[in-house]
Amino acid sequence: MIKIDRLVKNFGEKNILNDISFSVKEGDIFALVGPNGAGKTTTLRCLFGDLQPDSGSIKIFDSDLNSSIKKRIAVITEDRLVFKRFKGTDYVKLWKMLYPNWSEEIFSSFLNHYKFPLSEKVDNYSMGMKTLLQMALSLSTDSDLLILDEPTQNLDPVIRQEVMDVLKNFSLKERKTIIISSHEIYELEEIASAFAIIYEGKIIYADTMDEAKEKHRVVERGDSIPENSVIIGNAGDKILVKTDEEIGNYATFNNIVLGYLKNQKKFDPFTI
Amino acid sequence: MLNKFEGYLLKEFSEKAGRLAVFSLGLFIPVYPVRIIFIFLTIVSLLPLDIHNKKITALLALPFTRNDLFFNSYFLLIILTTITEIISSAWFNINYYSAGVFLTGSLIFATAYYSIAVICTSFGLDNFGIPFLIFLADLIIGGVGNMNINPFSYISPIHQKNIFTALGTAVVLLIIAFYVFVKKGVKK
Repeated sequence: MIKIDRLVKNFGEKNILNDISFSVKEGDIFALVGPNGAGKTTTLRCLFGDLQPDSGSIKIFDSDLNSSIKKRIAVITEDRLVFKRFKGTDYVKLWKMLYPNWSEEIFSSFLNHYKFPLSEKVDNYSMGMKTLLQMALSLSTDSDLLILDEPTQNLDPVIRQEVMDVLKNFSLKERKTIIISSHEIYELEEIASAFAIIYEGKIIYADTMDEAKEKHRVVERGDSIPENSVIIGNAGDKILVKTDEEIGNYATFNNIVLGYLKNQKKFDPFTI
Repeated sequence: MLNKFEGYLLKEFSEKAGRLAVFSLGLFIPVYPVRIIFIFLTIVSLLPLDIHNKKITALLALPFTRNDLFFNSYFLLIILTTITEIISSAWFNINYYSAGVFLTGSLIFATAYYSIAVICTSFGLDNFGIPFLIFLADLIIGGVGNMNINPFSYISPIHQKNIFTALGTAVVLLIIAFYVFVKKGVKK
């Protein structure tokens, strides 16, 4: 349904995305994880048409990004809401105009729960409140695809959990697709059904959550590893192994992400 | 389509109400040199300002395509230029022919400099400084020597010695600006 094929993006001489490919099925909550500067936000910006890729293709709902496809996509950008003079009511008016499936009912539920001061300028809201308002606006569009860049940043733990539950229900009940970029591994483990790990502009591993957990084990240092297994890297004080054998313990999402990322680069500032 | 344009107007008039109101007042002055200065100021406050201030990410996160942004902003400029021109001509009792010539000249200038400002900002340059330098260069080079033998004055968006060559130049610039902004994207 969403297919990204061999995407390349450079900023001047700097290569940001290097041959990125992955696909997202309808109804999936797809997590894009990786360290700062890995290319997560750039990938999302290419997805919603903010950046033009240098090469490669993006198919959304099996077609190129166009005007009618964009009405089926809602986006929460990393910078949140940025129209400085807009009041909450202006945002609601604008979103209503632009999204044909706008649901007043869903927005009212958010409004009753979070009590947004809609008559105030949104620029004066706290970052958390801006995030929540943008979440409310995006979910009220009834879009088929949500693209969320760090959606729980600046939210307190209780509201984070609430937002994660709302997103999970939105995807499950309405069969909507969500693509999330985040550093919050534990939150993603609860809601994501598939993921890709991105590092220095390359996808180093992509899979469904269930299959990834089935294919990986964590073992103690010094444990023997069967010949047909592949050592991926350190996952905390344990070793992440890709194997079909019943060894060690099942890996958590955190183990998998750490194992793949730590395999890429060692950092030890105290060793010369 | 209309909803999108309406949404774009809501955003533009909420965010830039003050400057658009002041520049629009200047557009009522029926003196060509004054009018083109206010058209220029209006241009650099529309899409080129959003590109320069990196506001287009927020717009592209909504159901606007680059195509929509380019043409919505251009149409807003054309509407402002045309309406102020018609009201001004009626107010100052300017005859239809003169008003038509005056309006055509204004629209050619607006098209050319909108394109120049979009091209500049798409390449990461300033929305005001570089277009203004081009404006000064156009003003000076197009006015050098005898206008009949100065080839630049024929295509100059300011001097418009020949309306057809000037119009052709403006259209070519608009196509280039469209290609640079819509097809190539903004250089970050």
